[in-house]
Amino acid sequence: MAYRTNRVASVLAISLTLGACGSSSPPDESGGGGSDVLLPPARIVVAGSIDIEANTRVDADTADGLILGRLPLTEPQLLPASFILAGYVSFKEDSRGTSSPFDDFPKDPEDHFRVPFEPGERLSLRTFSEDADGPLVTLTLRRLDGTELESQTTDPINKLLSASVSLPVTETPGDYIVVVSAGDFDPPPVRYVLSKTAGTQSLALNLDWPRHAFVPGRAIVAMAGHEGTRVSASSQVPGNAVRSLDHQHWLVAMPANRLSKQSVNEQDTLGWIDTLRQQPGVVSATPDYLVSAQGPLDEPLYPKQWHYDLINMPAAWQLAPGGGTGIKVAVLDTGLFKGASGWHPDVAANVVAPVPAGADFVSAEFDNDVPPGRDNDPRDPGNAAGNNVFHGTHVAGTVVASATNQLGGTGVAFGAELLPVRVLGEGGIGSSTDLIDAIRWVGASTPVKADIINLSLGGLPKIPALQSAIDDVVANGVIVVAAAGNQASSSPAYPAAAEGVFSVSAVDAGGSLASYSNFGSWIDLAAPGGDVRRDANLDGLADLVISASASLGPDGFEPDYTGLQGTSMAAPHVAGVFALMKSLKPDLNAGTLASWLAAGQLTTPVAGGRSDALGYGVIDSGKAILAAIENPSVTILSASPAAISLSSETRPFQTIELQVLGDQTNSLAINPAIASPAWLDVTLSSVPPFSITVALDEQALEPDVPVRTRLEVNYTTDSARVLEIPVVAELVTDESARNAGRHFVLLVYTEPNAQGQLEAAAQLSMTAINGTYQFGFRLDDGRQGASFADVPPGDYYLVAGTDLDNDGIICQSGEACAEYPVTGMREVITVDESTDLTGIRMATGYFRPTISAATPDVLPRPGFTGYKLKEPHSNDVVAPKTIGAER
Amino acid sequence: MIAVCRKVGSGVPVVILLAGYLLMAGCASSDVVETEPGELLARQVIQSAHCGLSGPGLAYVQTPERLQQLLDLPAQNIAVQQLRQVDLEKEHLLFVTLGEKPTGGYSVSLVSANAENTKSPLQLSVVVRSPAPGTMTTQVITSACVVVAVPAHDWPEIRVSGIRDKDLVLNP
Repeated sequence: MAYRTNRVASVLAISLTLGACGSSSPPDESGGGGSDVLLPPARIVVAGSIDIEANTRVDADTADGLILGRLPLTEPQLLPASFILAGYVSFKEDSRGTSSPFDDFPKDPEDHFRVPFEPGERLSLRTFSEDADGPLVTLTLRRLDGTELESQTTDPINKLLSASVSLPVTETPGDYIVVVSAGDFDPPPVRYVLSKTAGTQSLALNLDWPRHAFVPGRAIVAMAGHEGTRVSASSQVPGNAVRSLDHQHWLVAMPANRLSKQSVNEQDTLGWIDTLRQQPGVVSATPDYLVSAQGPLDEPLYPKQWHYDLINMPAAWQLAPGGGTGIKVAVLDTGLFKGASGWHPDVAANVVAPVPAGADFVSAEFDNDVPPGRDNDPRDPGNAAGNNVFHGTHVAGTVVASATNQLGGTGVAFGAELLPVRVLGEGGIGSSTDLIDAIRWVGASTPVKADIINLSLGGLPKIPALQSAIDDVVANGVIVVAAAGNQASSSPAYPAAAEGVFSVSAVDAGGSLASYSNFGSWIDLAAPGGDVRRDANLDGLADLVISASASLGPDGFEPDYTGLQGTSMAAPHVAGVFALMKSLKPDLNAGTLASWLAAGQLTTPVAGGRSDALGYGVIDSGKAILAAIENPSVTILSASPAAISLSSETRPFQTIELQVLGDQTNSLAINPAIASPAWLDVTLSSVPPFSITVALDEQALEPDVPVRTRLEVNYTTDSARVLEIPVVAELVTDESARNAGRHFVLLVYTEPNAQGQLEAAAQLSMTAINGTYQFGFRLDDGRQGASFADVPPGDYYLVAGTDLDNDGIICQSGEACAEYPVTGMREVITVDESTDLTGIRMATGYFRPTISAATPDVLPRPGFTGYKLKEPHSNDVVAPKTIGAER
Repeated sequence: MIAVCRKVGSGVPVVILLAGYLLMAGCASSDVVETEPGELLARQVIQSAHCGLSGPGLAYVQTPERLQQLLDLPAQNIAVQQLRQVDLEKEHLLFVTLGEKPTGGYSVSLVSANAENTKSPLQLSVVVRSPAPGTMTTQVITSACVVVAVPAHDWPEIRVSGIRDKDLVLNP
């Protein structure tokens, strides 16, 4: 880890130095950007980057820019269809009346923007002023020829600080002019935020609702004020009550006169339900959905289990529909959650019955169940100190969670049996002797208690007795899989690094080594472990591995699901795939797996055959299962890659190879009709080599809104089959264009100054480069020539933001703001000689955590007035108006 | 679990055995803490190994909105109900976070709290438990924290010792 962060710091130091080299003249706000501060080579103690929230823009002539010598724009500023912009207007220029020459505000009475509009779309304005009453601000919408369409003026005296305009439906789509103008008032400066969202979010929302099958001609109806009354008694409901479902809901049949044909079809049913919903008194009317899901892809949480698509699980499940039936996987961990109604319901059916006596190996000194010490009950008692995520339950869920119970997610080997063995006690800590004994208990004698052992644990040194136990169980045919560890280190970690153990490193949803994962020559292969800092699959959620857990409810711990990250999460993916393979090839053992692994038969290829990061690569379950089928009588199509991720910016089209797996002698016919949404063009090459090319239709996509779908490729080989390919796409329009304005990055004292302000101790200023700000602070160790960017040892908040009105304070409402680690939740960081806080990631924008559309006047912090910029000493000043650059 | 409260001025340690969660009742009832009669000076509401906060530090919660921000973090598993049951009109919440750690085995617990009066800094002491080198642990990324409820006063400063070499300082 130290190696990596130091390298980041070095790169930052170099880039900052280079950025400063050309900035002897006043910085160019609209140009390539860069830092204003020259950083001589020195150790950087706090460094990182600040990303900008999507669609963020800034007024091109804000006060701090005008003070630096820029002129107000003479042409309208171009904006995209969706944006959030912060700006500044002032009817006149003046001084704020202080002795400081650095906080003057310039004249900028009107801002003009050219904005694409669709009829009906609305644009909103929110104003902020230094004065409680503030000046009037008028928002006007005009045609390009200047014809005014709508306008609205704020009314600060009556606390109306917002305004909005919308394009009348009689207008045509196209570009229009938006004007923000300040009224004459003293004091006049006004900050404002302008925002507009194009179209609707329906595409994304629709994708959150999978299409369920329903019973034609049936609906479930609830009536207001008719509890207990037969719905057919109400003449408003065109239907015949079949039966009461509860005191309010009735199952209703569609009347025969609604039929368009002899038989009831879905469209008639949906039309009838739509009619029902419009009837007075009808609270709700929904189709009578079929509970028809029988496969892993239909589990409720499956759409969030990105980790399965990444390793081609849908293909594997086609080849191993039994999900590992007949194979036992021992999870040596913290035990398994058991509530009032038994084991966690998503794994309960898979737990071996009965659990063999002696499954709890935790010695008394590590134990927290009653009585302490080894016993027969492998249930996870939870932690005495600290809330519990039931680590062993999470790991077990990834291996065996049910695929057919319409509950939670699914497991890789949903048909396999689970042997929960407890080796980790309070806080997830255990002893090597307990582990060694447990490994021997599972597999050193015949018959073995489990075919596969999963070890999502680590941290041990090399122990001969541990190696001996592993040798014995491997010799007995048991396959052992272990987590590589989370120290971001290449030092061998045991038991993963032991001979005979499959060591699994972790990747994120993009297939890259997770930031925490160990690596090295002792890594065998990789699997999804998640990374909370990434959303590589654009599903709007952090890339965590979702699985079974428990949470504290009113009556104690209850079954639940949670997302975790770690190599602990990667290992059970491999254990599950090995279980699927073993179910198809009962004599599968570690030696065979190792030879197949080295031959590239189990993984997505890695350049050069293997790497220290991913070993022989990320496991590809489709390939792995095929390797295990010795005489495949089945033939399936597998997509490579298994999931499609498109972006207008980086990958607008993609070709997916359809590999024929299994018996190559079977005939294959692919149905050329592949349904797809309007934003996705699909072309099938139905002659060998088979492939599908998908391309974004950017015209049909809403900008900067991720969309998802699932392509279904119907084909016939030995039988009719369906290959499903998940697709995620986004029309990215603004990543590099994002600009939140000149940013000041500060380390501020945690205690206020004499004026009650939190003031900067060290300060940088910079413009955005490709939508990002990068910063680095050196330690002020008392040497001569310390600059604004040098920070003395002490406690600070790390913050960043804009000063659009040039009043020397950042992070006021209407100005961009970022706080470490999360805006609104600043935390104290301590800077001293040993500080190495590099690689920090922050996000800046105009939103405040406690300000929402519903509560626009709520302040995030009572009395908070922003962060005071560092005052330059008079002898530092070349020209007062260049204060923005100086600061 | 044992908590030690030191009477300010006298230097006499008061040892309190705590059942359930840690309460600073002994501190609150001492004659040197000038809070409301019978008012607790600090109490540990919850601990968690998965708070979702990636850096070591303090987060102060005075409003339900602020609490919700902290409960919306990914990679989090904490007893939400227990936090929501705290009346923020009477008590504020202080998240004391250890930051991201590479394995299980980490926890933060409240040990003691003291203050001269409600106008003086509130000093909290916590203890961090971490796995010894070479210990076998779960290989899951954790972010341990303890959430402490303190009386809803305008504390000029809250200092927390035990997380880092120097006190963490917060000015609510």
